[in-house]
Amino acid sequence: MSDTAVLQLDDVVKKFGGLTAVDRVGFSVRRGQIKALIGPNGAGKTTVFNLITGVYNIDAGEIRIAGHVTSGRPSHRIASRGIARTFQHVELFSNMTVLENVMVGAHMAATSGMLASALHLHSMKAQERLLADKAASCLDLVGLDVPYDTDALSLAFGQQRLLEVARALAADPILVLLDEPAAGLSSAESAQLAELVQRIRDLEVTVLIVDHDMDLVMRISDEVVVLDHGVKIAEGTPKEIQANSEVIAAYLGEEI
Amino acid sequence: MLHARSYRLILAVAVIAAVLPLLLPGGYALHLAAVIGINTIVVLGLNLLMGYAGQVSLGQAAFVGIGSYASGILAAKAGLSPWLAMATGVTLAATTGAVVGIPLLKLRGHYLAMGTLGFGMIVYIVLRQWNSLTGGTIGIMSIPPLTIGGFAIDTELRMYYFVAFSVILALALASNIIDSRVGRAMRAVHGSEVAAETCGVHTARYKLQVFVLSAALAGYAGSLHAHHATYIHPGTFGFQYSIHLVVMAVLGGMASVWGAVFGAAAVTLIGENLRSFQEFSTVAFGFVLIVIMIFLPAGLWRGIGDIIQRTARLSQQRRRGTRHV
Repeated sequence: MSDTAVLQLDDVVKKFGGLTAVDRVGFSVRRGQIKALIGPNGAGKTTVFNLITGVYNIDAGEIRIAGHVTSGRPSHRIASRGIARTFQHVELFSNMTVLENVMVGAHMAATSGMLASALHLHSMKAQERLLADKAASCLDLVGLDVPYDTDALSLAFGQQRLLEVARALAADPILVLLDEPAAGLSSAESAQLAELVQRIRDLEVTVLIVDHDMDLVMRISDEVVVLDHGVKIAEGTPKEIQANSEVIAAYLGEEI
Repeated sequence: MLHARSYRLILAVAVIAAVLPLLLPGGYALHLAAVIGINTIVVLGLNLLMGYAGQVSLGQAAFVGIGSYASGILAAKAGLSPWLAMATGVTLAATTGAVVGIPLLKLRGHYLAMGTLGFGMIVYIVLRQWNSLTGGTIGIMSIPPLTIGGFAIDTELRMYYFVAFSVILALALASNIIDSRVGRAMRAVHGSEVAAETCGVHTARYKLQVFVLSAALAGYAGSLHAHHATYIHPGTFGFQYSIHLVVMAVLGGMASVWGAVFGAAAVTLIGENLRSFQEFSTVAFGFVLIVIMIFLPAGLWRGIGDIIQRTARLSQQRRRGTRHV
């Protein structure tokens, strides 16, 4: 089990009509790593995240999570394998409080159904307390210090991003996918985020991160995968990537 | 958690419901109150479905019709005990909800609205045309009342109390569901289906569950209607009733359990009072709705709450202002 990759992509292909958005991409993420997925706009980074989490179906290839083939399974089944994620465009649950949003993240930790909920059975109340405690500790972990009953959408943008991270962590994942978590953050917030990502890894949660903030990516990542036009053009340590001529060409004019 | 507030509200509704008959002028007002209660039960289900889970149904009248006819046919024609007829009606409505819900809930937004609309029309036509079973356009007559150990619920007052009891029970169940793991999953489906799925929420299952629940509540209300009116006919369960139910849900306030009571009461009473307009009543009805939605866009329940808060704040400011002068 120890050498099994947490996440393994083999020759994954995704086409949208005539466009091949992801073209035979393969890489693996080892347990305990912080791995980054970078590339210019339209390189297919978010598409890869959507393929891993089952939001889109792959057209060819295979995706495995901790050794289990997950490609072709529905999103909620993939989530139950221990994958959680955040979204490039924040996808919080409107009309729900901060705590409730994170409690949905912990959905899989409880089992109470319609009948137990409608009748407020004793077993269900115990589970509710468990979910609320778990949610509270995740909010604490990401450092989101707002009243629990705040309407989620009334938070500032940076706080909404943190809330999404807390919701992802509430699922007790083995792997977290962070889709441009630093986008739109101030430099101070971005520094806090870098520290948070490292704290997540210290909890033995593996991290796969997409971001345009190269300083952040190069500083925190153990390994980097570079995509360009849906094709993997490089993979290696931040040092290797920074020296790679193909990567520099893809980012022509951009300093990395 | 938030439950204490819900229970206080339920208690308040129970007290109001208990003393209401003393304040009402007579039999017809009681009859209307029972009709409002029956509508409230349907709207509660619709509110869970639309307001909380974000799934539209323009065919809810069909489930009311199924519950009504199952109850009416079994009790009046087959001589079954009204309670057994009612249980069958609820089960049949829920089962139908599951059978049509599985394919229909794959649709989204306007397409789901169209699909449920079509379903409602099919059921309406079946009720009207299947003469041998449903009595066609004439319907079913002489439906016996519900009885509790020899005590027949056959007067307006008794029916009123039985309906009120049912409404309070439904309100309690609905507010429990909303504030639970299942309720959060439902609301998450409304907020972002993609995000809910990636949290491990089996969105299709929760959509179906709430659809079936709303169908069961509608079926129960339909059965109450059959034993209350003692006479049912297909015209009651047409497209217009489905639309009225949606209006009740929206007018009372989406995603608000208490709005269901207000919405059902407002639409039922407006409909009654506009009867003198005869064929223009639909126009007048539309006009009243437009006015309410312009001035109270969040629905009656929240809208009235906001107005009370604002006036309280204003009068507080005024009092503070005069002190300074």
